[in-house]
Amino acid sequence: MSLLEAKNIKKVYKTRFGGASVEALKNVSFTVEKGEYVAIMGESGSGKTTLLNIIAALDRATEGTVILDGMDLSKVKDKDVAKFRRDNLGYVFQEFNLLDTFSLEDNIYLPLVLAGKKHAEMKQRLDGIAGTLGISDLLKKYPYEVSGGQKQRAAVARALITNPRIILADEPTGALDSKSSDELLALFKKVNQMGQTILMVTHSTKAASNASRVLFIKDGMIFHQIYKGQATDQQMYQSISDTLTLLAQGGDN
Amino acid sequence: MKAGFYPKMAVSGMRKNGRLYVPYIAACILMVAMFYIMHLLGFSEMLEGFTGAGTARDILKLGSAVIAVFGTIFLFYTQSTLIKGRLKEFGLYSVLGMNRKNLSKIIFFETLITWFISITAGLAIGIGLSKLAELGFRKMLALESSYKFVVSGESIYFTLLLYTFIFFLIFLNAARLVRFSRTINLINSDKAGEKPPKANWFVGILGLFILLTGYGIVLMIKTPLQALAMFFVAVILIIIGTYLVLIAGSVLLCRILQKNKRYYYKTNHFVSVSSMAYRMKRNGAGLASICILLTMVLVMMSSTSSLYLNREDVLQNHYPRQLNASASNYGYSESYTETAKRLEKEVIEKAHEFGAETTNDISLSCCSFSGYMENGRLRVDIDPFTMGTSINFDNVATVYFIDLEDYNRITGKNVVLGKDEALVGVSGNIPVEDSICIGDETFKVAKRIDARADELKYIGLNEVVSTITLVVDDLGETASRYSGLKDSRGDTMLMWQWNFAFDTNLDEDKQAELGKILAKHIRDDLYPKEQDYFRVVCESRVEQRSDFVRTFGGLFYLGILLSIIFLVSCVLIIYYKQISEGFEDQGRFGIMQKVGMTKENIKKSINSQMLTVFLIPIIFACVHLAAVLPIIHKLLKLFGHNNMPLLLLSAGICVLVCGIFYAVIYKLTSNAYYKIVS
Repeated sequence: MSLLEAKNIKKVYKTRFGGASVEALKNVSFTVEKGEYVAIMGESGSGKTTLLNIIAALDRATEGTVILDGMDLSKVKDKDVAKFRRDNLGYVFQEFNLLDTFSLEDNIYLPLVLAGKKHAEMKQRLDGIAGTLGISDLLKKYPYEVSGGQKQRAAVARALITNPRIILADEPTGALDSKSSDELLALFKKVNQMGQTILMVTHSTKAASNASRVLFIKDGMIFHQIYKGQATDQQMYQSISDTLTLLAQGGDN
Repeated sequence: MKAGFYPKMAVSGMRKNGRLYVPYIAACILMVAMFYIMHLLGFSEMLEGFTGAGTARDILKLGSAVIAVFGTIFLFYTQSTLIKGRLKEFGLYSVLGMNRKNLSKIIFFETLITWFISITAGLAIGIGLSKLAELGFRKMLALESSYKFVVSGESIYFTLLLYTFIFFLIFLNAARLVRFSRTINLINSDKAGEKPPKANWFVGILGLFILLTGYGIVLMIKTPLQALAMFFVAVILIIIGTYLVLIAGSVLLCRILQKNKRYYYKTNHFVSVSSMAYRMKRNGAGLASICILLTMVLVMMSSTSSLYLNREDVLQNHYPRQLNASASNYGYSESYTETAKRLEKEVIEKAHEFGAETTNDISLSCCSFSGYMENGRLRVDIDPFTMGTSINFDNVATVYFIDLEDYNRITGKNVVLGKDEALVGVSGNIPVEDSICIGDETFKVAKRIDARADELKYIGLNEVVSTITLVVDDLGETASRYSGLKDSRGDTMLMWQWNFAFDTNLDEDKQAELGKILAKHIRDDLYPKEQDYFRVVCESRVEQRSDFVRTFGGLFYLGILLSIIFLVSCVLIIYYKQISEGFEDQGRFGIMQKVGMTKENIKKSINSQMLTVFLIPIIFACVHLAAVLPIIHKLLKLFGHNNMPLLLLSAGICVLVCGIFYAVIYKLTSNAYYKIVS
């Protein structure tokens, strides 16, 4: 059985006075296997962030179901949603979303503190991942004191520390310079190789070329997908850009 | 550009920011109305033609000055927070091509509109309420109500002048704020790289030290004179201490809590402690201001209400009987006593002639002088008031000598004293052992007596310095030993005083009439012209009562009006604090939810945070009040008020009323906060 299964997802936004409605997602179905690294690509407005928000239980689908590890998201009660997210999902945002009132260390601890874990256990878990992420020396610093790349690494640590079933990343390289982007992508790859399932939304070809599979979304529908297989990043990059060119030229035909 | 563009921009800007502008304009209107009323009562002819009118009006004049100064500072402060909240909007305008001059024009029209609304509405409300205010004043001062409605052109003119000037200053300040900020900063002003505060050990501890020093001074003060000298020092130290403690000390406390891992890493504490640390830095000053305002309200209300409520007590002490005559002179001679006897006889005769029956009379004479207590001896060779700063007011004492014959008559006892023996009663800071040294003479203490018991209390009524009451066998002989004493100006120090008071069977109007007749009789016929400095007066308690009511009522009234102003200012500061915190928390609220904080958790943590932040000022204010109550008690003694239970009671009631009011405000403003956050 797949780790994540999205079936016939549809999302309709209504304008405030119930006039025109916009279909952000028409009919999206796909699955993610355990240990996979999947990228979802598409242009601005193609509905990819909406999709990710639905999977993250930040938003509810108008129709369709999302099943994570056998649990149906639409069955999770409103008041349990936050807890569900905390226990099962790790979210990495484009704008990092670190709280400036906390040091990096406390930012990373936040989900564990919310889960009521003991400090000793939290520290142990952090020690386990801080080295991998290369943030051991930064833990006492505050978000305003570190660079964007460092912030994003801390945000990844925050996502990882709960041992989530899946990491959801929304344009994780969107606010980073190219060097930091490369570092972060290498990090994602490393984490994935350690067995972590990752679902990433991006419109950067470079970011997507790291993934083991790329889904293309256009006008609210899954349009195409590419498996990396044994291809190198370079080859993957090439085939992604070919697909994108095709999409841009009106590949519906 | 089209005519009317800037006014239109100004109107729409204010309308869009209604949440900020409505309370601000309301406060402006209130300030204008209050100032008009205060000015009208203080300066117009409205409150004329009653005894004590001058005092009462002086108090109100002082009040209008306070409102003018406070109002200026407060409106200035409010408006700059308001403009700071809108810098982003102005930044956008300037990106769209407006230069600073254009922006200043918008601000000008905004200020103009605010000015216009505040002045018209403020004056209208002020004029409307002035009659009510006057009636309240008259009621409190036990004056007859008048049915004349007064509108004073002069007061309108002054209000207009003052507030036009204030608004002009406000405009200049706002224009300055916009002019000296760069476009890019204007746009980013919201998120300008906020640093979490560092704990500043030095400032925090300094603040605590200053605050405790202030408290220490208050606690060390023993006498009213000292209180008068040190009150402002203590007040200033406490104010500075409050600001430093709330700004730096609270951050420090949060940091210490954060160091304690077992406490800090709990779901309930984690978020609130760290955001408190963050918040206190920016809002410490606001909280301190709220705290100081609340303290002022509490101190003002409890002291003036307690003075007002206790007026009859003070009156009774000063005027023990319906009619009170007294005479005094420097030095002592046998002839004084004879004069006193003659006066007493004449006064009684005149009263009988008037048709009054005299009862319950007190007749008491004493001799007194002041000295400086040192090593258990009252020194009379140094003049306390030329000692300058080295003086310790604790040690200033006044000694009263009373004749044994008078004492036995008053108390109905039959005490016998030997030569150089005395009955001794003291108040204040005077140590008494087997004997007591007054100047060069030593008196053996035959027995301790209570100087505040029976009619003895009418002697040495002043609560200002310590007193020693000595009952001696022969007043004349004892007085003659001291009659040669001179102070540094060469004046005789010994003062002879005679008090005569009695009740009658007359009604109040007749008492007042008799009082006037006796006063005239004494002045015209009985005044002993042959003796220098001889002072004789006769006063009826009824007449004095209205004077007391007027003074204390005026103070109380002023206390109430100023309290209203201060409380409204408090409300506004709290309101803006909640609003700005709401906008600040909006984003944080979202992030925490995404990371897995439940709505319930968030609500709980926000609630506990807000409650703490809300409680801090009022708790501090209550502690301040408790700390300064002793000094207030001593200051009230200068007004003859010595009723600690009443003072405590009125302080308690004030705290209660203030607390309820504050809680209501909190509830209302936190609703505004929730609306923004969710």
